[in-house]
Amino acid sequence: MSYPKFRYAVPKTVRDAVEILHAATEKGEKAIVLAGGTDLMVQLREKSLVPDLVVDISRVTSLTKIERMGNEIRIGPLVTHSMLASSDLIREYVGVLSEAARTVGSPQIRNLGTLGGNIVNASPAADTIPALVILDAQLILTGPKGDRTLPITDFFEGPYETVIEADELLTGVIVPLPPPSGRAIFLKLARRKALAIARMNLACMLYYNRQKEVFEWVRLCVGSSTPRPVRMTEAEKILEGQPFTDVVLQKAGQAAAEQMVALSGLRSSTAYKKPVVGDLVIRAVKLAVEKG
Amino acid sequence: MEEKLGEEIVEISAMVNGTSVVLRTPANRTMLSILREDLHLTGVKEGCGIGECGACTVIMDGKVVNACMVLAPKMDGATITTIEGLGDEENLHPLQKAFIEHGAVQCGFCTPGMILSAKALLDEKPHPTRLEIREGISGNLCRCTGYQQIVDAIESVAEGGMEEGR
Amino acid sequence: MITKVVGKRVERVGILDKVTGKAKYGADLEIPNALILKVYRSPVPHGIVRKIDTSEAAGVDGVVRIFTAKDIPGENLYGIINKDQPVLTGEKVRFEGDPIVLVAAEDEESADRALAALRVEIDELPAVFDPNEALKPEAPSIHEKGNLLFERKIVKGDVEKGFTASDIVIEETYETNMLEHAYIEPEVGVAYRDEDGCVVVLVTTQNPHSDHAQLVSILGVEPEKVRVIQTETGGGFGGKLDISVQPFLALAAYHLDRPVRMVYSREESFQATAKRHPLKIRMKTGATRDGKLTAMKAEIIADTGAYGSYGIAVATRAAVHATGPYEVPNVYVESKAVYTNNNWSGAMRGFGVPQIAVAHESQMDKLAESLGFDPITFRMMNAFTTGSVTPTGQTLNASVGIRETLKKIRPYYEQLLREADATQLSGLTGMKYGVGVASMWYGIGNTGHPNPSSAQIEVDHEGNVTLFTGAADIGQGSDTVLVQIAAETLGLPFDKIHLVRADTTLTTDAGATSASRQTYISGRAVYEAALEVRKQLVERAAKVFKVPANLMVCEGGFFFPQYREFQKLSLTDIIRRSLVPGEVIRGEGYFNPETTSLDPETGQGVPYTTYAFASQVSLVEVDLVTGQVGVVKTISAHDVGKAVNPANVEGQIFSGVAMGIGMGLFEQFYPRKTKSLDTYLIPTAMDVPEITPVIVEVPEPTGPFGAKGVGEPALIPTAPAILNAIHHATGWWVNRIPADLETIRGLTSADEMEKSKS
Ligand SMILES: Cc1cc2nc3c(=O)[nH]c(=O)nc-3n(C[C@H](O)[C@H](O)[C@H](O)COP(=O)(O)OP(=O)(O)OC[C@H]3O[C@@H](n4cnc5c(N)ncnc54)[C@H](O)[C@@H]3O)c2cc1C
Ligand code: FES
Ligand code: FES
Repeated sequence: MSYPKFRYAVPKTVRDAVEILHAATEKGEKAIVLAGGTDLMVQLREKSLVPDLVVDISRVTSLTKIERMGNEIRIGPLVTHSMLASSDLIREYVGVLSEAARTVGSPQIRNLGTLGGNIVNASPAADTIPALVILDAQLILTGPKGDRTLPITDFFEGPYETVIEADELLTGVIVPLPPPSGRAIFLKLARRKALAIARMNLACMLYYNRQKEVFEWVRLCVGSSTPRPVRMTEAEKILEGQPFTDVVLQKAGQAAAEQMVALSGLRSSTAYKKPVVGDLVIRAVKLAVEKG
Repeated sequence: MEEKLGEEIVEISAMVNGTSVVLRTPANRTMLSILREDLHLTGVKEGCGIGECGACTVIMDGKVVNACMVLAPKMDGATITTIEGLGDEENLHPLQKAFIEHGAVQCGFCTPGMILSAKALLDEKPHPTRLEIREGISGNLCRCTGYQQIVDAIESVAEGGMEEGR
Repeated sequence: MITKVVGKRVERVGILDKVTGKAKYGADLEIPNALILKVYRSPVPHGIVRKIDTSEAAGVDGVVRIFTAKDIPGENLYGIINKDQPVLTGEKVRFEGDPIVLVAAEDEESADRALAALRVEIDELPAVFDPNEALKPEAPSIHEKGNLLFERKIVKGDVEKGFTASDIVIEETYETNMLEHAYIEPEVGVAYRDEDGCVVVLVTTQNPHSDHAQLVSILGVEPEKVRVIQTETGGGFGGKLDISVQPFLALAAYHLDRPVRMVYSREESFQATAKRHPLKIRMKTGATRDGKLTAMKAEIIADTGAYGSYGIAVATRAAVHATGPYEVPNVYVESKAVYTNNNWSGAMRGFGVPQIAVAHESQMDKLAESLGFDPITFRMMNAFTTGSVTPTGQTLNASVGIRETLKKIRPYYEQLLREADATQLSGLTGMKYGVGVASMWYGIGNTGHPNPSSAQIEVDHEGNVTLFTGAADIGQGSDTVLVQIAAETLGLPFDKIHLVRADTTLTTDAGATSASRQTYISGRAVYEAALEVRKQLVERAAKVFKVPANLMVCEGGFFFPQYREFQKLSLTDIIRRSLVPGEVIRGEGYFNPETTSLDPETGQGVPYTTYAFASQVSLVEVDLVTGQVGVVKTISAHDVGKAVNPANVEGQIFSGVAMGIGMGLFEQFYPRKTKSLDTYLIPTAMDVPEITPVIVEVPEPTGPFGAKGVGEPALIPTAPAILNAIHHATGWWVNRIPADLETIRGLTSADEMEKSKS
């Protein structure tokens, strides 16, 4: 299989990268950002993507860090899934992201694939996205005019579509430290037990107050089921302030299922996904509560 | 910004199996094709070209990657180990010996990648459980063996501790 | 019998090259100056080729030659059983992917550009994708003779009377999946013309001599003008029995003065090569209250897709094996192979038997449950034994190990039942655990057809021993086993024997590496060749020692007269003393197991000389919420006659179980949709459980050292055992494979609806 012809640039700084992207875009060229390449290489091989210029950002070392800054963790977009899976900082404070990253592809893919690529590629099945959504992550985009920061849920417009401009880079992912009372869970459902794209995935974080016997707060996001990632707000509302009972859980599951159908319409997969979303939400909430 | 943005031809210098190599190549190629076609390291196999089979697995800067997922210019400055760099007839790596002893090879097409995944796993985690071994090789599809003799082979090396391989 | 090499876990032949990356597969051969070949394939599933305009493509830089159907010098039709498949089609396309134009270019990029520059006009015809639809009179006709490729009937006793005499009759429809072999090495080969003008094709294959015969006919040349050499082959599973790149390579090498190379991408391998026949099976089985099977009736429809390939063999095998390994006095089977515009189906590990086993083993469990027997007891009550008569009227005289395999799995079955119960109590809500059993039988070799093998062994004047076999080792290990048989018979150490294999100029026909036949048939041919050589060596040694030949002993590579071991001479000593330079001792071996062709009306006859048997038990977990099924443990007992190499036999068992898990749970090839390994999922190491292999050895008198075969049997019981385990876990019968997420979750949802109503 031959790959399309393109030029290749390998900037060392964000500034250079943005400048190259900007200059190419001004000239009317198709320039694309290359990080780990695990999505791009497939698209190039299929020739579903034929760029004039590939801008490899993997040598922009400032984008590979994981740092704690006060009440937030800042993750560079070049951080790989392997790094997320093994980072002590991530595991300690935002373990659910680490759990999600651990389920991506294979060891080989996790060593190459980056968090930034997972986000910008914007596949509905991306495993880190539901985790980032319940963590209230913010994204920093850097373009020729400087930075802009936006909540992750505002980033996506539809499957494989985002608000990023052709001359912008994702340069940071900010994850506010979740309240220590929160318990989180990530579930992935796929056709086989490893190396499989999610048929559905789910991240959930909640605080169940054992004294008061009520859910104080709940955050839920189900991937691969809605056109853009969203919080399952209907289910969250049902749970909040309520006790941990089968009736409440059933209602929450039902609400999640209905919200999914409302957002994605009836599809051939709905017969499967609708009941499963509901039941998975119930399972996730139970598992999170069991975490103590 | 200079007029010309990027280059169609790139220069790569890398350490491959302990030897430094320098070459010029069009940028629109994969590391897999460089290793196989330019460096004649045909122990690196192509089974799919889309990251799914693991036959092209090599160790790059200490980590296993799918060579078909790496754009050639990314090799610049990297240290790469293929099966040819792991051990030869006279000086077999313990994993190669174990694969022979346990009959962990049938058609052998997955074998080079499988052994490299096993090496990277044991480098990181010298005493994995059988389940961890299975996880560690889950990016390497084998249609022939059902994996069990492969897991046995890797486990035997883990138990024996990896002797000084190269 | 005490053996020294046979029955031992000797190191696999060629394994050192494989673990060091030195083994040369087709894509690894460096042929200087080779042109790249690529094929233009039909973008539509059914149509008439109106016009092929190659002018623009021919002008593309780097393009050397463009071939169409007109350029085929011989017969532009091939097919392993019935010839119906064109190398390059000039008239009709029958599936999306039918080859139309072949391009030879300096490099891949030029070839790709040429493909893009071809102008091929096709008038689309209505297509038919369902075999039942294809059989209707108004269906579009895919081949001139109509859409029914073949029908096989098996009639034994009076099936209706049998049902009347039954206390219980169960009737059900089963459906199985279209599968891709997904060997990890895609098709590849190189070709050139040698000094004598012979077209030499080096290719990944499991069928070199058949490839040769087909290429001779396609090129219309003398047999000496084609030579096929098998390269190291990265798996086959039946998918490399049919020719793939071979005719393109041969055609280009025939016309051009340059070597050529062709490598299928994974996508092309998926699109262009055979699949496993999906079967629709209607099966009706009757039994008496005391647990005896009385009658079985089956209607089978196999979708053979655009071309016949092995369709006839699959329809026949499914019919012949439809009862399972049980005595059924009254049998009626109708089995059809039908053309559609889907990808063509061909041979895949088991030829229809893995599919039919889904039906007969589900039926067995349904009957057992209704009659109140446990699954092993019920099978035991009906299983074949020596003297049993099969549905084709064959009396089984020897090596009937089915009962042994059932006995062997009984304790595991009971242990797994306890484990299932214990796990159930501690498991996550929504998880269910269950245990399932399945058995199988499998006739070794081609069905009701002669399928001989031949081999030669030569000892030269320096004492070098060479085994010549046409058998292609595709990873399953025939090289190792054949050398073991030769070494054992000659009384030589394993590493003393040099092997020349699968080269149509140097070796004679050993038949295909298929039907689990190489150990049994080629193994016996090698055995015969070795006996002959041994006889000659003993005669020579007798002359050296000046004693009668019947007093000579030959052991461990040494010869000595009886009771005079102290005088022993090595093989080399004997050879040096009795052969002049250039002289060789040569032994020919040949074996063709006795079969008779099946009666066209009743299917009666002797389809195979011997059968392999197996029983398997699996523990599965079923996630009622997600519909996901996982196999937790499997124990698989196989009667292989004699395990010539136990490690290889176990390797086949592990392999078969793994493949069966994919088949039973998630593999599904969607014609025109499935493109590559991202959507066609085969089991990873995480999907395959720990497997306990149990080897049962009920010797087959006609087999070498009693051996039969195991390659395909290993797969067969797996999917049905999983289905039966799902039933045990949930109470639901799943009558189609794969038992995927949607199927299982659909059953959960239906169940919930049912409960909420009441
Ligand atoms: C075999 C295989 C299995 C996979 N399995 C999974 C899985 O289980 N779960 C899952 O979620 N994904 C999976 N993926 C998809 C992929 O690995 C991930 O999405 C990965 O995180 C992508 O990261 P990357 O760095 O490789 O992206 P690239 O391929 O380098 O880039 C992806 C996209 O993001 C853009 N981009 C990347 N970084 C930036 C940036 N900083 N700024 C602006 N744009 C940027 C690129 O232009 C491109 O459009 C799999 C892929 C393969 C090949
Ligand atoms: S060839 Fe790279 S993963 Fe298959
Ligand atoms: S040994 Fe054949 S694919 Fe692994």
